[in-house]
Amino acid sequence: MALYEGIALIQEKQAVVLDLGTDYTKFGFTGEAAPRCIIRSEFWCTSERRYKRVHDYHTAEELYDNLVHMLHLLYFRHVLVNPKERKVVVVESLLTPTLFRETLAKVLFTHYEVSGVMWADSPRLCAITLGTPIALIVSIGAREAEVCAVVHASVVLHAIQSQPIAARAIHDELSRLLDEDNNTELHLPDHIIEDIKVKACFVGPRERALQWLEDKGPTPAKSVQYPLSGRAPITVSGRSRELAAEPLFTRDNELASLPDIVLQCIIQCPIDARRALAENILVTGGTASMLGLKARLAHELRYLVTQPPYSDRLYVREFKFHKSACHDNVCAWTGGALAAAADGGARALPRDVFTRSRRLRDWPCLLDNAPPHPRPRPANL
Amino acid sequence: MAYLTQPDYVKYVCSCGQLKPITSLYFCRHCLKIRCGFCICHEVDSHYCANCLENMPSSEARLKKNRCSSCFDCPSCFHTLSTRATLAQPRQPVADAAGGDTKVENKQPKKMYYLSCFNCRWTSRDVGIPDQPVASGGWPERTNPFTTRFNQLLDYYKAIAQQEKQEKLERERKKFAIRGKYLTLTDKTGLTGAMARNIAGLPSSESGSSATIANFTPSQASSEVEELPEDIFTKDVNLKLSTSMAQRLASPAWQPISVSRLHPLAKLLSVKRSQRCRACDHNLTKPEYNPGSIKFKIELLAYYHVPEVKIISFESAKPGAKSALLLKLTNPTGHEMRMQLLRPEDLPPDDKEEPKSLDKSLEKSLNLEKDTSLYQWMQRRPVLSGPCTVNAPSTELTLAQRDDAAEYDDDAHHDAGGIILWRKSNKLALRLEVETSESATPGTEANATLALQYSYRNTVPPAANAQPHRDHTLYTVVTLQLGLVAG
Amino acid sequence: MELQDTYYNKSEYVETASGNKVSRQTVLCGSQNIVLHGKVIVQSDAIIRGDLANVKTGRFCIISKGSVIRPPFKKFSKGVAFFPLQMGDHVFVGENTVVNAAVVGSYVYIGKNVVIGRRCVLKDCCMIEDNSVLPAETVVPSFARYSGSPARLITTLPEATPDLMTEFTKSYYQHFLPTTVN
Repeated sequence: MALYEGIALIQEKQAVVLDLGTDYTKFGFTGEAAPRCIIRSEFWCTSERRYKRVHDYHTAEELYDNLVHMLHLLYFRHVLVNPKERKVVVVESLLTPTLFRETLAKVLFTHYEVSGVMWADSPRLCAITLGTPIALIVSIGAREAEVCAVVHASVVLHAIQSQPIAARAIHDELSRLLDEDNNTELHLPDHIIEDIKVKACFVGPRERALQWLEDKGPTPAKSVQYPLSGRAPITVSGRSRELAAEPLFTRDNELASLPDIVLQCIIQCPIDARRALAENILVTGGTASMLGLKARLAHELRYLVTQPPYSDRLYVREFKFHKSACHDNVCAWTGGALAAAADGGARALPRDVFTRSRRLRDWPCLLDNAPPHPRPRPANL
Repeated sequence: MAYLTQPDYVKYVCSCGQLKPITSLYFCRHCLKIRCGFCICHEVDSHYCANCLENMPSSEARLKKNRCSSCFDCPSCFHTLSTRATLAQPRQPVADAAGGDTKVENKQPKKMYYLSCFNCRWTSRDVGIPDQPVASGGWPERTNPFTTRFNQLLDYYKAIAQQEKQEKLERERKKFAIRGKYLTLTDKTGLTGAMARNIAGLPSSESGSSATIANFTPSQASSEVEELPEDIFTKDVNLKLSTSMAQRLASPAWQPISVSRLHPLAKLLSVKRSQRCRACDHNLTKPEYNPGSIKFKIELLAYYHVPEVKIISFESAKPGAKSALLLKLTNPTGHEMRMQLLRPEDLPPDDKEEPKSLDKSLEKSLNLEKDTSLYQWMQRRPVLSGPCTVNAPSTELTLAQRDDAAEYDDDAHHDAGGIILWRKSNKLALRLEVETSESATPGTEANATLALQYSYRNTVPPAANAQPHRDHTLYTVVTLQLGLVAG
Repeated sequence: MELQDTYYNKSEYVETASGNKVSRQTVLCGSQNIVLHGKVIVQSDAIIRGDLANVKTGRFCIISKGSVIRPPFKKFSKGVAFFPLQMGDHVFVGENTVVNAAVVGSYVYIGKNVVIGRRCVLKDCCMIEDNSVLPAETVVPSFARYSGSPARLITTLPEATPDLMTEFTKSYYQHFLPTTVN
């Protein structure tokens, strides 16, 4: 009987996986194939009587309050478990601001008294869902597109590329195009723009995009009337439908378009990994499910790699793409659910350790990224 | 209810520094401090379905993924679906969906059920779900298309983790080849995983796990990518046929793109929460188990323990002038309360530690893990400055205890003169003077802060060895919102 | 903030022995089927359809101006049947609101310009905010605050809601005074 009790004590509560995105939050249990909920990252703010976004903050205290409210909503309205003495896997970008990480750690450890937090970066988690040793993760989220190379379970840190070309850029472009279509400033709220994008927009192929740049564009796709409540319907022209995602592919002297940053990431990686990276591309993030985006990216990559400045520096001619093992928008989350379920959350930062040290490990910090055993200094120096 | 429909004119300062109306505050009888939803610990108490109001034990709720087995939400508008009955002839599909309840004269009519939304008129027939012969349950369930691959991956990584563990163990064992005289837990039972396998003549676990690893196929990349559909440039778009973001994300496992793939969503359960004071771990609220009940087993609300301050009316504040303010004070407790209004500056400093009883400090030292210093992050500094100051009278006020029978003698007791306007059982109205500073700019919020000193009789039965210390003098600070400073 | 006095014209209202104050300018159809349990205020232009089925209210209910209390119907194979409408104690119904519910519990606050669809069940202690529409057959659980069209749960109510609602309806009744000028 004693042994049985021992097992009961050892047995962990199923940990939860939290992916707190700019627009959408994914939350669920480890070991499950899909999150329990995907909800907008916002909560009802009683004092201001409106929905408030978690990422709208000016001070650390405001962020702390936002996170407390958001997690309350997630734990007690959606997943319905006690946060106390339960581990959490936090899926984060490698470029998450330090303030955000640390505030989230404070909220989880002190406010919700979780027993441990596993901090996991999204590129590696995405790579986990593939099972390949080498992968190039192109994640197009709400605010930024990030390209990270994962080589044998480590991220090539110096090759990380990030540009503000993601859902927000598409929304801005779409609302500009819609204003042109309707000859007025429409001032549509963000959720309507998103709805139009989701229902009507697609990414046209490269040849057509070039034709649009000329005076006489190609025959546009059919336009559609989008009904608005309490207003006259607006026209969404075929041109807007096709060109909304064009900011992702527009090149300028900065070479900051989506295919450019993919190629730059490959170039900055070790030479022996480049071919493998190009042949193991995974495009994820909510925006990746846009119709035609992956095809366009593939075409652009195959064309651009033959052009300077890449043609004489990158001898990769083949690009291969993975189909992810889940929906595009929950890829990193699924990786988190896999990783934590496999090792039972052994890699989590326990609460008592955090209580003592009160800091998080982070890759930009020299305390954490220096080699563990510095070489002893030669005696004769 | 005025509290729920009006802005919060009077806010109390919680012990964590948050400003909240009295209705959202709690009062811990053990710490004698005001707590709020922000600084207390919430716990899931019981699961229930908000539609059918059935309780579900938490183990069952976990099994059913927190979803009710008989109630469904509309996948289109998220309103609750209703079950509709039709009479159908067996082996003949029902043609008219509209004639819901009209009786079809037939030899053997059979009752068939379908789901229908009364808000957006979506029905389960729209997406081709066959009608069911039973009213609740039995609806076809879908499986996540990615589950198989996910489980493969999961087995693979579990095998790797297992192997790593095994290797680590092996290394440890080699390091400490000489066994001590103490038996480890696994030795005592004589059943390590490897031993058990040996006895049973199975291949050792290591090779077993490596088989999983060997059989695993990583994802294959291909140069083919999903191309745009051919007809996208020529086909008309029908916005009504594709789902919105909210509709997709309502079922995270499927995320249907076309409305024809929408499927009823099993209703998410709700929870009853109990709340606990972080400092002393006592319950502040604990609801009754029955989902229909609005009663609480424990209900330590500030509204029942802290004197309530309500504004009756006020004159608008003018810079450099004095204005009148009528306040109503209520004693919600069952004991007489002595009360004094103070200026917030006159409050005794709060930082002196309460004299701890012996067993309490012992408890603290035992409970090493509980490090209260972490809670500093929860502390907030409330903004208590306002252009107005309330001239607090120095007299002590006495408020009678609450008496439910007193509401029937409804003539208020008018006090002539003085600051007390009237008294009525446990309530009294005060006429106060508000001074507004010269420098107040018109149009800004005229806020004033007021401190209260009140006597509180603790009704918690004291511990056997502790001396009965039942009457306390407590302090609380409230902020009053007195409109805008007049020009 | 304390409630302000509301004045009514003394000649307009009828006060019963149990303390009900009912305006003469209301439409109370089938008044033999309407039971007001005492200290209930029914303000002008309100309509209570007792002719369809029984309507019962508890104590200290407030039916504001222009609101409609109408028992719900259900379609059956042989026609339509109306069901009685029950209302608990301390219920506030705002102006120009239509209540088609089957059951309204106690301590319920319904704002103004609200439509409560037929056969809704409002459990004790809930609140429907102004300008909301509750589709038919909705169940509103206790301590829920619903808003919007269709109304959805937005937040929860404080635990002290029964007492707040009691105080509100009682003080509304106390502040509902006849004008001294006749």
